[in-house]
Amino acid sequence: MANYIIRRLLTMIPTLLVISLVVFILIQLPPGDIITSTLESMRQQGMEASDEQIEALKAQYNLDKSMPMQYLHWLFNFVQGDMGYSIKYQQPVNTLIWERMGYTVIIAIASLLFTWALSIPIGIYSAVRQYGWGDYFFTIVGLLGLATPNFLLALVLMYFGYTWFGVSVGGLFSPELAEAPWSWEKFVDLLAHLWIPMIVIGTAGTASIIRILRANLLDELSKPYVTTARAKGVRPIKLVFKYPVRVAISPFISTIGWLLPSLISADAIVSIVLNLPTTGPLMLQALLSQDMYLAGSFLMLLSILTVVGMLLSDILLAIVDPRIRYE
Amino acid sequence: MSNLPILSIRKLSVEFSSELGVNPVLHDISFDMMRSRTTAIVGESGSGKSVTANATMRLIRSPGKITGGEIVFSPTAGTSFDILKLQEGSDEIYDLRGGKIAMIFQEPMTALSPVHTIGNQVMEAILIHQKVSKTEAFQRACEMLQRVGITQAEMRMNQYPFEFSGGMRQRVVIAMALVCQPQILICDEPTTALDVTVQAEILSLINELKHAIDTTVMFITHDLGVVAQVADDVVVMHRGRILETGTVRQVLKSPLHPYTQGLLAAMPGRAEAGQRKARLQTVSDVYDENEFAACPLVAIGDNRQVALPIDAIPSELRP
Repeated sequence: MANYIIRRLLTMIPTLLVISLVVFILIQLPPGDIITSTLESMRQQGMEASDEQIEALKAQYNLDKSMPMQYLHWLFNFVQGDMGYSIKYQQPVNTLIWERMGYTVIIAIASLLFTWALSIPIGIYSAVRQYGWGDYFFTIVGLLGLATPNFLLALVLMYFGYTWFGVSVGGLFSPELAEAPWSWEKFVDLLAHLWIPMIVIGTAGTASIIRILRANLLDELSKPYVTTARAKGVRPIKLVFKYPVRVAISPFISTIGWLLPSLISADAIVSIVLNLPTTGPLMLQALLSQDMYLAGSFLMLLSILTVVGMLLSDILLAIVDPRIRYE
Repeated sequence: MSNLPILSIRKLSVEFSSELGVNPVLHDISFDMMRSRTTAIVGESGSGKSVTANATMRLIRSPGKITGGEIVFSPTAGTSFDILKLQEGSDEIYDLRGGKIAMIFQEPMTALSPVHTIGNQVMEAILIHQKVSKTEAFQRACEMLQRVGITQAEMRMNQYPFEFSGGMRQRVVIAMALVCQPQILICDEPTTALDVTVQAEILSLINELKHAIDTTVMFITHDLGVVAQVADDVVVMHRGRILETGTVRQVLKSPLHPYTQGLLAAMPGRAEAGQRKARLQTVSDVYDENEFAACPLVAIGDNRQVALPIDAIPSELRP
């Protein structure tokens, strides 16, 4: 097992190097660079830059060096944790991303737990009571949930949140607390705001997990080993959880690999509608405005999280399913 | 050896309903299983053999339904009760399943959970039915694995089913079924999925253990060769009805029902050297399914029954 993990970690290095090269080429592809845009804004303010100023700017951003050197520079800085400078926001990329990362992770984890807490029991119930009224009910609700666009749900919930509970709509904090230092009050305020994005983002995954779990479980429930266990005298609840659920849960573990990157890109549209201080809208902006270092950092982070997530889910799968361990 | 039946099935009827309507799969079947003997239930696919076994374990689930009859189980000479009258979900049913009556299935490759160790699965049977500690259960499971011919049992306990061959897995399934010393062991085509040499080993293992722990066996098969090897008594089933019962000698040597005769005629024999084999008969060459359809069973002597009109039974056997 340890051997396997080390081997996997080592193969991650060349993978990420190749990805970084592709990302660098991508962020260099758009015409123009930071200099042209700076010069453009200076010209609009009626200033002309001298040749020395331009050279100084180029040197500041390493743009006077050759492409391969620029790549190495970028890569070297990235590995050391310096992700570059955002032209649009005039701030280091690190500041921009980490500022939003905390909230992103909170929302993502909350909605993930919400999704699982809701969908796994329902999925199991639907499979065990297949074609019962409960199964039909959850199927209808689930399909409705699947068909409803998230941002629409966000708008509806915002409306009700405001009219029924008087919660100030959008954001993660009430306006008066947004800039305040952390306190118990601020934490409670966060919880009061958190439920809307949690439900909105959470319900998106709920319906599909219910359907997948139900289908997987139905397959497993009709397998002979379940009958063997019944014939052994195993009681129904233990029978369902010990055997088929254990096997039916595997597909979810393999999706953990995709969960990590979706932490960052999480539902940009919902975040914009709900005015959430997460990374999703920032990434969308970066891509739209061709903010090369910011966009590049996002792409690189997404790739790293994908690769790490895949490794994590492979390790978890090996723990859950012994058949994988030995291959 | 007492002559009392340990299991007495009376007028058992089972239906399966589908969108196309209700489909009766067992019609009023009745037969007895004698203590410490092996009763083989023979018949082609869909004849209701497995349904009979599952009904005995109360394992029939929707859309299947037991619609009538009784299955009287006499664990000891004095006590007896109707399995079908037990409350669904009651302790008695779980006590029965795997405790007093255990079952071995057809598919050793899939009958064990792929994600649990052999030890876990064998020990589970012990822990459900006996009040023993985990270490004690581990010991017993190990001993049982050794008895079914698994070497290095202690090491094997921590292995998973995919590390076992088909024959080995079937040994594990047998160990799991017998570890609680059930009074009835139901074998639902236990050798069908195995190759012939392994099949012979498994059959003699079942036979040996049957004597060792003095249990009664219900053996379901479609293979008359296997019947000849293992059975004391035979029940011939066809389309949810019993056509003939009797001892293995009676049924195989002098079958009364034309369907049984057809089954025996359809077995491939050995051709003489240099001689061209005769074309094998099919059952329908011998037996017209509608000929004696729905004819009730007639008792003709001690546990010998046949579903024929009186005048079709040889006169010396008529009741």
